[in-house]
Amino acid sequence: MQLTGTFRSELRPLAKIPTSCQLSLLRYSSDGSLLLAAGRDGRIHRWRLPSAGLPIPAGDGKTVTAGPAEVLAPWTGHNGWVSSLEISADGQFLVSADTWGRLACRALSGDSEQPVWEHGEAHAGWLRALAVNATGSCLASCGSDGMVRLWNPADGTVLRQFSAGGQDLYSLACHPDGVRLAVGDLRGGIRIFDLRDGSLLLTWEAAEFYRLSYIQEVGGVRWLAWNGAGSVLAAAGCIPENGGFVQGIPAVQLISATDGAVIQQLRLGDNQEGFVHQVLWHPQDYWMGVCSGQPGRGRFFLHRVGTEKPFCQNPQPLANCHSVALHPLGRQVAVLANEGTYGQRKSMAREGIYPGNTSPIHIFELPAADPVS
Amino acid sequence: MPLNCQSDQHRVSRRRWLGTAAAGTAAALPLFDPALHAAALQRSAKQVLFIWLDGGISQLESWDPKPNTEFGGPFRAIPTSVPGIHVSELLPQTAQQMQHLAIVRSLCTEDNAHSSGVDRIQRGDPKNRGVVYPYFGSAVTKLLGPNDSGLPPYVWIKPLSGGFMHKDAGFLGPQYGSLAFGDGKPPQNLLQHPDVSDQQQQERMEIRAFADQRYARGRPPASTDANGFVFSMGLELMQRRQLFDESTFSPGDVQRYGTHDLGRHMLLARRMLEAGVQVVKVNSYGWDTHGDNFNGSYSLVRRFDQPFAALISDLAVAGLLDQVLVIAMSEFGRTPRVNGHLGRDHWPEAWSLCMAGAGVRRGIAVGSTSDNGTWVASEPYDIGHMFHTWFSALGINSRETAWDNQGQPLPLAHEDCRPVSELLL
Repeated sequence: MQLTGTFRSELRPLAKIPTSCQLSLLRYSSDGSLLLAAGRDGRIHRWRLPSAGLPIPAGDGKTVTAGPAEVLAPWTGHNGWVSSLEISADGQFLVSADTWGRLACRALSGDSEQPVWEHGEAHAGWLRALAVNATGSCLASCGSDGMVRLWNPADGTVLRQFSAGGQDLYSLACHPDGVRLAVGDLRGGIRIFDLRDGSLLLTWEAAEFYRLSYIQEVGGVRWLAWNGAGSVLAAAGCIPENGGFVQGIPAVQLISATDGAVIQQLRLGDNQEGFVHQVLWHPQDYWMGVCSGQPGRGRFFLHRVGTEKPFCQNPQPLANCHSVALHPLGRQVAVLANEGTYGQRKSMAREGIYPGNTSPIHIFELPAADPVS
Repeated sequence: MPLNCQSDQHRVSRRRWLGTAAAGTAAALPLFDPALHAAALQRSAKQVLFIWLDGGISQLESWDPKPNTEFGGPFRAIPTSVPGIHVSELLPQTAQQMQHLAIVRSLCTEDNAHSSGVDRIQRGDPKNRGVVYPYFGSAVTKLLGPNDSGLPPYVWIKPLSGGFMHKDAGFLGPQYGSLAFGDGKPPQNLLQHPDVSDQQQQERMEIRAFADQRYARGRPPASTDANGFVFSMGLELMQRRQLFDESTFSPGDVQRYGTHDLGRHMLLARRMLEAGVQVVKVNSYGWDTHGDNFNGSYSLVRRFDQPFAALISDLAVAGLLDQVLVIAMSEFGRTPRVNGHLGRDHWPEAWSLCMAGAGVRRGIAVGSTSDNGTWVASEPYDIGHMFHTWFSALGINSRETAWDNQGQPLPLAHEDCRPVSELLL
């Protein structure tokens, strides 16, 4: 549904949930009662929330607390970092992946963390992304080994596997038709495959998302997302200027699914704002994204196709946003930010105090549509 | 005992460079032959390969992994060829050469800024006596004295531009600086113009020498000496330009070392060592991974792993590890804490380096850090300890030898430090 009215262009802060470590990705369960986070501590962090979303807090709205979020025991069993989370099409299962290549499927009902099925080495090395197709018949995974693997979500058996260009694969997105799969790689390659036979249908090169800086390959198509109609593919990343510090301009390309034409190329900040780490489409056919660059820099923003500027972004600076999850009712979002200090303060070292950084979760109510007056 | 080494010992005589010229033009450079090169090099002095990973390699993504800990990052640790020693999974090929390597995991140094850290580390961070100490490469060149390679004693293979880098030499004087090959290329305009005959070239040199002598009268010798030294080096290289011809590397070696900059430069470094250069420094830039450290390390460390392992293997097969001291390091390590840009910042408090070769014990990991990698858990070693250790490995007694800086005796390395005996044969 295309929204034709104007927007109240502000986000209302509802809650700020503290966390104990850095996180990489957020997901709501299909009924909205669980908020799940991939931990850079190898655990899956969980909170129970009201299914209808968080209530509007009393007071001035400037000072928010964790609200009614109930902290559940995190799930263990992964190694390194938990790198990706995906909810099965029927909403009953959570599939998770880690940087050591493990893939696991757990039932979301109940508290047992025992996997329904798992593979210790689903990929050789960093398993970077997961995607479930709309029909629920296929779970796709990709990794730094350059492989795409298709799994039966019910039992974890391999349906098919194929190389997707030989490069480090960063991102996946299943088309709403349930048949096509978009795959993004380190060097800006975007390929569309047919899930039924693994055949390559289309290739795009988003070369601006990649740079070789000395011997460091920098960038990558960090996220892919189809809109609800399947007519537009959003590809997110960064236009990197260098390696090391990785200064770069957050960028998104909107690509037509019909002819592969680039509908829009957006540069969404200065060279300190870094990567667009994630893009989501709202059912009202606007898209939202998060970016994160130099420490302290980062934003959450809402955008409509065809416009150059976001129509809404977070009301106060959020440091280093890495993920956003849309509540199933479409009215609230959870945004993953970063909190802490720069790493090298020697005074802290002398005192023997050396805490890690954390990733607080900010929950916002999205702007409501107002009728055109 | 103050070391009394005159700068003209490093000057190349006209006779010598002409002799080298004849040898150099007589035959094309042979491809790598371990037996042949081992025999040749065993006659010469010790050599050094100093690999500088500028900006700071993360110890947690290389020599001192802490998988599944708070700051351990996304990568695994893998076993090496030495039971009990593990390194990051980003070093799979180097892991197979561990029997030749010595890792130091307990470095604790002072400086967490690049601008001062690079100098302090490469000069050994001596006590401040109002003089500028030489970089390790310059110091070794002076201490080992000239060999018979007919090549510059200290070359630096690096990305970007080249030229003569006199600042390396500190108080030793500019002639102990390094000759940098920008992107592994020889200095420009190295070739003798085809219209100039050898006879004419010789006459030109004699005129030049005459002019140099007149210019030097009444001027401080340091600058004119350096000028002449650099010119002599240029002449030497003119005769040995085949060293730089990448087409003479075997395709197999090119693939083994990698076609990226560091691979090409390490392969050239091997050739320079084979040809008898005393000190070869190889720089790699871009290691200051304040942002996206883990994807950055995935790219950087693996591109270091490939040529480093290949070179260690080649030196070992050729029997050259007995005389070539290999050091791979940065100005500091990187913070255990991960910042909001998924980077690691500067961390001199607890970091690592890797060494191998001449005089160094093999297949060991010395020192340790705390379980989460934040602090040194064993005896901490400063860079002064490393300088003493490296000098000892090269057969130089740094506790009993001193620099003679125009009559001022100065210790070779920080007098509060000592060689690390665990690391030495």
